[in-house]
Amino acid sequence: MKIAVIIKQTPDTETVVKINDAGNDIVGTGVKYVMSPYCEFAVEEALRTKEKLGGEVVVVSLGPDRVLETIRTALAMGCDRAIHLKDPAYEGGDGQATAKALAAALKTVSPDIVFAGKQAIDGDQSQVAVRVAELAGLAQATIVTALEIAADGKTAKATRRSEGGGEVVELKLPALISCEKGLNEPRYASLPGIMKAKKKEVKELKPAELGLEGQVGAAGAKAKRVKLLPLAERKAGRRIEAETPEAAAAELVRLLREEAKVL
Amino acid sequence: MESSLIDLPDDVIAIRDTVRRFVYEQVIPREHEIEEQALVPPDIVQRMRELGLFGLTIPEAYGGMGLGSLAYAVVSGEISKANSAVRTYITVNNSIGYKAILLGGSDQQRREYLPRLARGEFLTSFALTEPGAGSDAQGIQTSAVRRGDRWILNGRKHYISHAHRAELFTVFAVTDKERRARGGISAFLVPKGSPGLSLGKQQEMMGGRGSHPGEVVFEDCEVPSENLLGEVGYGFKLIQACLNDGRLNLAACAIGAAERLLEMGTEYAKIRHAFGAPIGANQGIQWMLADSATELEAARAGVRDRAGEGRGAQRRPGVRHGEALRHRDGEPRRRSGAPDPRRRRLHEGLPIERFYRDVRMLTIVEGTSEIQRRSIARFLLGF
Ligand SMILES: Cc1cc2nc3c(=O)[nH]c(=O)nc-3n(C[C@H](O)[C@H](O)[C@H](O)COP(=O)(O)OP(=O)(O)OC[C@H]3O[C@@H](n4cnc5c(N)ncnc54)[C@H](O)[C@@H]3O)c2cc1C
Repeated sequence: MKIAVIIKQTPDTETVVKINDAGNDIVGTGVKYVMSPYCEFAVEEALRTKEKLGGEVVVVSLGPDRVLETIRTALAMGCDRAIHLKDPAYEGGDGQATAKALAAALKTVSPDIVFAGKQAIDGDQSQVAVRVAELAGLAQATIVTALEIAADGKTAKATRRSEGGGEVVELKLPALISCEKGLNEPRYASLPGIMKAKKKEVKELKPAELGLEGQVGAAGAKAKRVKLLPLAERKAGRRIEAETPEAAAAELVRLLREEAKVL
Repeated sequence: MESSLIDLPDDVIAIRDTVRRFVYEQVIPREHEIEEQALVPPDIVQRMRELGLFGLTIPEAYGGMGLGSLAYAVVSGEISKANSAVRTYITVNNSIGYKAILLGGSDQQRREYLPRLARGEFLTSFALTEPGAGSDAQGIQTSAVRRGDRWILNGRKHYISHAHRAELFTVFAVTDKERRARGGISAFLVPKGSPGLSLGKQQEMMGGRGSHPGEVVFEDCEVPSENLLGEVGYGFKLIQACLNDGRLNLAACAIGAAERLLEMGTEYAKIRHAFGAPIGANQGIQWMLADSATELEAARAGVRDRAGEGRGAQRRPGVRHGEALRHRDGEPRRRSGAPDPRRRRLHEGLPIERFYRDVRMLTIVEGTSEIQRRSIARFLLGF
């Protein structure tokens, strides 16, 4: 089976991000970058699929130099080789421009199945995976929490989470699966895996090599972020002053009931 | 190990971050459980196997990773941020536990044992110390005599880490009473279950709960002649070779423990209030933290320098021991000891209290701090 997984490098969830002077992006320096957590589910599922059905896992990512570290993480977890879409021309794209580049890169792999995170935790747009499937003409199931691929590798049954319930869909491969928490428990890269990852192939592809000159990154974008809105300041907590623990508890219950209205 | 003085190569950083994540996410949340039950839970041991932690230093040809001493030092430091027993699992197998097999074993013995060791399928013990001989290893009494195609061992070892869990013992015994260190001590591989091998009492120590040092007893214990490691009389050289590597690594372990302690101390200085302010607002406390951080930085740089490949570290035993001594002796004792903001947290059950006990062993095992000073002085004096 040819298995592909598209991943994105995002700031670590614990990083405190600052907005730049222009107000339209975050300040990159001092930010710790990691693989977006939903992409970890995607990598894990890709590896499990390979372990069950055999084949090769190709990881694809778009972004600057620093993204190589995240690609290496995926290789250390067990992916076989990588494609890195690295060129200044790829920068500044919207979901469509990014998806175009990824779909073109996937074409060079001709995968039977593609895994992606259901969204990246930075932009939270949930656009890229869906657009890639569309552009590449793949069947797709989004927000998947369970997956069964038939032994012949021709069909798959995916369980999707939806608000308050779920659904099961049958797909004809090739298909794209966007992965949700609960699908699996991503493995740690093993230490020998990390050493081996150094020697695995990471192929860089420029827009021209994909026949996409002038169509990716900012040049290919139809939407542009103009402003980032900072998180609302958290209000300070409230301290309950009371003579006795009993009185404090009574006051707490009163506040939870009357003000917070959670009881 | 964080340091701005000596940079780590990218792959070592990747390895460090993985081990760090494992330790902080999976081990530290259970450090009380490990301490209370005096046991490293099987599921954690299994995770350590999957990560490849048992085969860090074993050469690739035998299924390990063949890490150099720098990478190994960095990993050991991270592991040492949790319970000492967790570290012992890794560091015994990765140094004194397998080294003698690599250096003295036949090709067949290496092939038989090392790949399984690298996978963490079983534990080994290094059985040198006896009730009557510790620092002065050549004073051991355990004897080995050849009878036909067997060796017969008699004697008693104690304080042997993992004694009650090990499947395989590297045992040092006297084969020539006159020559002792000069060719009179030999090394043997003794598998668990060998006739005449038994385990004595477990010897709980003040720290390292879960690493179970204990006694190993040989009463006409028989092993086949091929279980001799290397040649007859090669034992003392093996002892030195095994311990030399371990010493540098124990310094790295002490640094890892000190890093965790400084982390806890800094946190405590922020959250503990006295006289209406966090105690960290007092300059007296700030200096404790700053001094700790400064010494730690120097120690880290020293160990990294010693561990760095191609620096002739192997040929400069005195200096190497010097570094090791500084970190083993000074760092953990200072950082886990009295004069710092953590001293109020000495009740049992808090990690600081456990560290206080755990790090003691770093000043004893594989040569006490006094013995290391002795090596340094003898090197300086040319004895
Ligand atoms: C937790 C733990 C685990 C251990 N695991 C193992 C193991 O797996 N395998 C193994 O073989 N051994 C093991 N040991 C034993 C350890 O190696 C010895 O305890 C150590 O070498 C010291 O020997 P000793 O206890 O006999 O002390 P001694 O050698 O009797 O020394 C007593 C004291 O005298 C000091 N001293 C001795 N000679 C000199 C000198 N020339 N100058 C100045 N001071 C001196 C020592 O530093 C020490 O403070 C372990 C010990 C501990 C505590």
